[in-house]
Amino acid sequence: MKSSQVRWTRFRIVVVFCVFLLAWGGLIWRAASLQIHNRDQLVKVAEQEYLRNIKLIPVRGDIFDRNGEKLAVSLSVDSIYAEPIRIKDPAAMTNQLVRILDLDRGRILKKLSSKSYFVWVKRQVDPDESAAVRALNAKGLGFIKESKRFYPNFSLASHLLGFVGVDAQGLEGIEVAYDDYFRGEVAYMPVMRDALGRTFQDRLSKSRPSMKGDNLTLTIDRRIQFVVEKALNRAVREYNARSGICIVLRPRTGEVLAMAVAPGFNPNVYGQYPPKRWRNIALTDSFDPGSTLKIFLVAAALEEGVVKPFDRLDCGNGFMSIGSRVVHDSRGYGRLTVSNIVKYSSNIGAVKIGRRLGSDHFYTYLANFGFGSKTGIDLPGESFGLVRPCDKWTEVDAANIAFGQGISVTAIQMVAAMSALANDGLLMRPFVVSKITDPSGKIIKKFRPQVVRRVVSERTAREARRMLRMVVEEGGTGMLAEPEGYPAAGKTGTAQKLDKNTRSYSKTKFVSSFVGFMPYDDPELAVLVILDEPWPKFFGGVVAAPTFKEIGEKVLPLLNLAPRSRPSVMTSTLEKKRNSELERHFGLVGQVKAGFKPYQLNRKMAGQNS
Amino acid sequence: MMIDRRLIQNFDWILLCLVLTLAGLGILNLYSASSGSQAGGGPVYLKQAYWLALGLVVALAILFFDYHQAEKTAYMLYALGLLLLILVLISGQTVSGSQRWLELGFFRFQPSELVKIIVLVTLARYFSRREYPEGLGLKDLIMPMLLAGIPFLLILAQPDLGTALHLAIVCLSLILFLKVRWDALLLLSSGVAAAMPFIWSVLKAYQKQRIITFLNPAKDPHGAGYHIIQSKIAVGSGQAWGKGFMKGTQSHLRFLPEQQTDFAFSVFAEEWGFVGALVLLGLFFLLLVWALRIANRSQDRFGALLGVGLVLLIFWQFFINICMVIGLMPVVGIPLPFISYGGSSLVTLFIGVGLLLNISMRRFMFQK
Repeated sequence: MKSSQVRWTRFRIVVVFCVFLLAWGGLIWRAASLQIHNRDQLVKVAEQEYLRNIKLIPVRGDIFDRNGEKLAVSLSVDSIYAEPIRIKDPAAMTNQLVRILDLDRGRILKKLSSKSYFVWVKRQVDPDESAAVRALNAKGLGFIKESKRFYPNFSLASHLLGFVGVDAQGLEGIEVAYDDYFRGEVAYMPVMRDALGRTFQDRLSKSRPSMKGDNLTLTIDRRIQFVVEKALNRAVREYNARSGICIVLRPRTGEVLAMAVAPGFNPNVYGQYPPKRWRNIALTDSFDPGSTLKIFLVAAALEEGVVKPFDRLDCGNGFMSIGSRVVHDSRGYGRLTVSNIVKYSSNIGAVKIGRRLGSDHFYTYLANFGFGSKTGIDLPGESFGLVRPCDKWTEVDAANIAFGQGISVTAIQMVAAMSALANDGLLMRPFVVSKITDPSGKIIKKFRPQVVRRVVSERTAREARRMLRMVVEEGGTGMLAEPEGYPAAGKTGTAQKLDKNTRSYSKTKFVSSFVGFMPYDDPELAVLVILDEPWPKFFGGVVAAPTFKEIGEKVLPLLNLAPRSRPSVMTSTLEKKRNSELERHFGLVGQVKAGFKPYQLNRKMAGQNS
Repeated sequence: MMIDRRLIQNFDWILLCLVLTLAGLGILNLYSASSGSQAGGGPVYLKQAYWLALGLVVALAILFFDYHQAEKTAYMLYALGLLLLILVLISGQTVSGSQRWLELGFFRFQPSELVKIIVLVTLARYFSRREYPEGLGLKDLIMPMLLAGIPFLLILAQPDLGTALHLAIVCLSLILFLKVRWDALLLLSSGVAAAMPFIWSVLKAYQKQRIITFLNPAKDPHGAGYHIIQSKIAVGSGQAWGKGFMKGTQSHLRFLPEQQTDFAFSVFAEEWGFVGALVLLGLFFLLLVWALRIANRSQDRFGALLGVGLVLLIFWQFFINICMVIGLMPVVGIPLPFISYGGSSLVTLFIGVGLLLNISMRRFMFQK
């Protein structure tokens, strides 16, 4: 090669080299702008692509009774889903699924034939159903573990516990009242996903945090609840009642030991019952209490000093005119002491005590006993009941209210008020949750008994208790309530229901109740039994008192209280005697005599009441 | 034929080492890029290793011949190349709408890759016998344009726009290297400019889309703009030090398309970061500068022109690919030399490497 040629070539090569320098400079500048200058933004975009936060729903916390027995637990069960776009033959798969799972053919076929990426086939299936579907080994079907609420005692305490929906959200009862605790904190776990949307858990965090909501321990005693439900259900059946309510409280603390509504339902399959069956009517519904209210009238009168226990009031021949209306007693008692007015449940006596006390005072005491306001129990759906202000009471209203008609109370108000008398005049707030613990067992919250207020003095409470004791003693309306071996005290109630059609008080529809406490001298239990529309027997002392007795006999031994006296050899004689006493009170025991009218109210009065 | 002792002494170990380092990094990168996919016929990185071995054998075989043999047989080779391209059009394998492959029993071969080298040899042969002290005039341009233009059109007809453009740009830059007269240059560039609308009308819809997308990738992030956006995300999220080998999220989770072939650099940059990218760019720089040095030290015009041609071949392939994956150019299917997966491309590159080694070790044979 010529030297000029060589020089020329060299020059050109240097030019190429310079071009290279420029090119590399440009590339490096660009790489730096992407990887250094814009990195934060591009890292963010990348994470948006591949990072997904999976919502981890903790396993719902459990519910225990006061002894640590399980009332509600969460099980891990399979839910079956389908990816319709991957299913080649929806009709064939529908046939296979319908054979195994109890499903509506048309709906499943429609779901599987859709173009969606995800549909539920059936959620929270039984283990054997799940196994059968797994065995199909079908493409396009998948399984997700879901936590399902299970109530191992079935219908036990169903109204109290409530239930949860398919997404584990509390819907009723304790489940909804303490939902936030049960749910625990939802956590988000970052996972990687690829361009096809498949997720890879193990890429970022090897272990899924095991999470659980908080556990609740109730004041409920499963054994007592069982006894109560059994006794209540039997009474409802035996007396053809529409429904029944029973609440057992510890008077000193306000702890609810049992709360039952009959008929019950099985919360595991709550959907199979009509929604009205789910209502915890012990809290939601109010009713005319009837004679049970008299003891609060008497307690108020004693506290105010307007009567003394042994003051005698004239109850006459069993008829008393108020305006153009007449108040009846079951017979003419003549002059009765205040104690005996309670014992025999004299309506005329109650009206007279009410007049001595005065409406405004009576109203104040009713309010102080908690009627007309929520008790504050830690359950949802509690209603106020209805106590109209005393300045709206007519003379007839005042008379009615004195023996518990024309006033509306809830079961929980009634049993709480009775507990106040049993608890020396201190009204306690009823509660069902004693503590909340986190999954490790650490106590997050502990609920202590709460005094609402002092309603009456200890002395008044003691005098009222003495009268209530007389009710269950021989000759009292509540004789059938006395458990064997344990002295009890209480008050019967038989309230007429307001007939919506005739707008007057019904002669056949009653709310019959017994509310009391035991043992009489050292009350451990306050028990309320209510039967709605028992028939043909309907007196509270006849239909509700035996349930009280049964509960006492079975529950008090559970509390390590030995019977005071051996069952008497005289039992049968005593029984006969009691029956004859009752016959004297009510004519035929619990049967309605032709034309028998325990109490009548004219239309106008009932109309004013409503 | 004999191997002179001097030839072994002058063997260019540095060039071979640079090339093997790059090819090794390529296989390493493929190992990561292919770890997620289950392609048939064994792992991609292994196949690439076989191709590398074949390439080495071919390169070493070339060393036994003096590269001047190529000078002598250039036009025959050229005719053979055209024959192969015509054969492809007649009986080639059709893959995704393009006839680019010849089935050779146990493997498929892409003749257009080989033709690029043949055209370079032919042009080097053509120019080595001519001198243009004043630069190439219009008339001087006709013949070389024809030599490059025929294979260009044949490749374009396959159609393989990427390879055709690559060939065109290499040939044009080689001609520019030889100095073109200003009037001819002006005419040439205005001719190219005038041809643009025509080329646009010839382009397939997806090719037009790519160019539109390059100008505004955000317009259709899930469609046409996907490639370029994903590539930029992968590169950028590698940051300074990278995510680590086998830890690239965008590639392993398959957000990045074509990660074994055209977008292999994105995988590398994601996992090794800016530092890794600098190293890779640096290796290419060293390789090409070293190859330029070989051309520079060549004592004959054919050797120098062929050397420069090969440098331009590798350079443009490298430059266009990198520009594409970092979003400086529209997406054209050109793989990154030595790094991307592709047998024909790798073997062709090693033929080029063999020729460069040949030029390098025989540079003293013509000393006066």
